Amino acid sequence: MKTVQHDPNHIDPRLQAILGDLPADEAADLVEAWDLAGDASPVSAVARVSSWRRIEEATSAPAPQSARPSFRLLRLPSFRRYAVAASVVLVAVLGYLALPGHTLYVADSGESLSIELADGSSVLLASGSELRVRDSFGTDNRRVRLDGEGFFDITPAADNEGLSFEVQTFNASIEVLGTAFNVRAYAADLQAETRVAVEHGLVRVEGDSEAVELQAGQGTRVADDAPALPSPVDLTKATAWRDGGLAFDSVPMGVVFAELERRYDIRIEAPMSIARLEVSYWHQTPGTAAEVLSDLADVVDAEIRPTANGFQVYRNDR
Amino acid sequence: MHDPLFRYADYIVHDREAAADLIQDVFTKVWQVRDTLDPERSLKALLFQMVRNLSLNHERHKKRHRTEDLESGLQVGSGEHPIEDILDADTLSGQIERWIDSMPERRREAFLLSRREGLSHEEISNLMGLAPKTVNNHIVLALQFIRGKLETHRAERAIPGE
Repeated sequence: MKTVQHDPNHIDPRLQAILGDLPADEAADLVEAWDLAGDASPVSAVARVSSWRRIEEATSAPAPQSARPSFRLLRLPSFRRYAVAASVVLVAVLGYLALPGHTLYVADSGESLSIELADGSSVLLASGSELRVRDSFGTDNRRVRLDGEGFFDITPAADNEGLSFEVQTFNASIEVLGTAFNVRAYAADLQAETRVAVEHGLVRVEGDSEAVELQAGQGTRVADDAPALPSPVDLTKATAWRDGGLAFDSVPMGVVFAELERRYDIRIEAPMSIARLEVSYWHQTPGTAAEVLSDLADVVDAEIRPTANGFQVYRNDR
Repeated sequence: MHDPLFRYADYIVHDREAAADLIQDVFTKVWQVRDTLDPERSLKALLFQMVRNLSLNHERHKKRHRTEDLESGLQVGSGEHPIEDILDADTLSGQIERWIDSMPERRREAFLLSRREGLSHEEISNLMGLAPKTVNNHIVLALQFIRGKLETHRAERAIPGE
């Protein structure tokens, strides 16, 4: 039960501002409602810990290769203390709430990661990408969550008790019935979108408002609510990353920079005026980061210079 | 910063597990673009805006599909906070939560951001794309709504005061 002291002579100044020009008696009636509605429901320790834990996983430098255990400490000393305290809470309460676990696969910047899933499907993760797989995967669902880019080779539903395979991204879900396809969905990209290209088989792509079906050789992109109509896609380009290639078709330069950062594990500084410019770039064997960057810089009349951990792209003042 | 954002996501999606996911997405995204953030702009405003956009997307997606997403099937977090409903079923604060939940979405959102997360009218109006005057109207209407429910509630109980 809550107790609220209700002193009509003292009104929260914030409420006073809100009630502004209401007649005094009407305003007075609302003071109690304001007081009673004040308690923010506490965020439970479990929710907070599991949420922080995932944020830590996502933002701290991941251990290379391998499926990491789903709990790790952050580097910063102040966070570390918190994380240690948090881990105790986690152990204490996790058991009886039976919060299901998951495995997080991370392909670090500068590397890719090949994963075999429990159902025999395989995934190749591009650098700077994450795939989250619940422990229940393969039993009553075949859902995974992707942030980044991956090439999926999926075993047929018929071999898996009819369970269709589903990839969720930040703004779309892709449902499959045994096929091979590429998904690109870096939520942090300047022009964030989910792109799907199908090598063989049949894929259903759902945005928030509509869905489309893709056949082999077709692709689509989900930028806002709905996937674009299926259109022929150049699979060599869409999956070029698997063999180290770079392929971009009319994207903001910032998207290419982000890809290079992941691919070469470097930092690229560039003003928004350059990052917004649209470019196309295609190279099967791109060479070094410096070579790619200077190619790109030439296109937009910019210069590059090395920094401590990467490059700066800039324009000389005219 | 974490808790207000978490609650805000939860106000919109009514699902703690999903809210935790959304917050992860937001922090991850901010972390990944940290180099390009404009120091002139308020990080708080950016975080709230990102939480709002992702939460509304999540809702739209859910409404359309009604299928389980990756995180559902949990006893914690799926649906309408069953654990608290049981705990709070008879308390006044439990009632108030349900009244707040039954308000129109945008009214509830404006009200909770103001009352519980302490955002200014200006912050709320930027976030929700409403005029400050409209924000104020929403809050006053929310208070009047709660006030009305309280009166009915007390009349039914016929025992004034808690």
